[in-house]
Amino acid sequence: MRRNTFYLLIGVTALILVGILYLAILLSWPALIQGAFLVAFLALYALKRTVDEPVEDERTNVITQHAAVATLGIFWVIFFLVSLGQVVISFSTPLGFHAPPPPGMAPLPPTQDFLHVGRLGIVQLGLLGLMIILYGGFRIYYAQRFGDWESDEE
Amino acid sequence: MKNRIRVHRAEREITQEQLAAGLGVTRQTIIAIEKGKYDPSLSLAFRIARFFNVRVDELFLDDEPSERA
Repeated sequence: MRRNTFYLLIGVTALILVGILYLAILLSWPALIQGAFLVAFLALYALKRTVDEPVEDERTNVITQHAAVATLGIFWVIFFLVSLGQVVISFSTPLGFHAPPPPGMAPLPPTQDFLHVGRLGIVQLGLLGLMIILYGGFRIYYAQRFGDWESDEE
Repeated sequence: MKNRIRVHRAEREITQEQLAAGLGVTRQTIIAIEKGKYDPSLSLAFRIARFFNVRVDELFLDDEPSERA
């Protein structure tokens, strides 16, 4: 398989996964997107081995290392800030158990705790998205620095 | 670091694509090395030298000013 075909397949897979995510939300079925993501990851990993031209070499590994270190250098600060905020919010409310409702008032619905888990997932996904954007930006920067888009007369 | 890869390639009429395939790297890496944007590892430098059947110091030239000068 050609390298560009592989990159095209990654894009198509990402689009399919977005569709499956939408379907999983509609069906309230988390395992659907989790399973699909795992299958897509394994399939792409297997397909990568069939690419004829080298996708990675020592220069691309250097670019990856630099981009990963730079991403981590910024991301841990953002992650720390968000986590500190969440810790403050968590410790501002009763932890682990809910105080019994006042007499005559209905108890909290049992799904309340799951809503918190869902919100945590949105925050995590947002942070992961930010990490991908940061990594992509740094990859472009270092790829440019190590001559990824240099043209040649040949 | 300057290098004479382009010269040796031209002498042997080898394209960047062929050199990249022979060394198992991407063509972009060959372009980056030739343009001095990327300094290869010692391992790759020796592989390139072996490919052209020359010594490494014939292929790569140190453009840093000597400390003893």
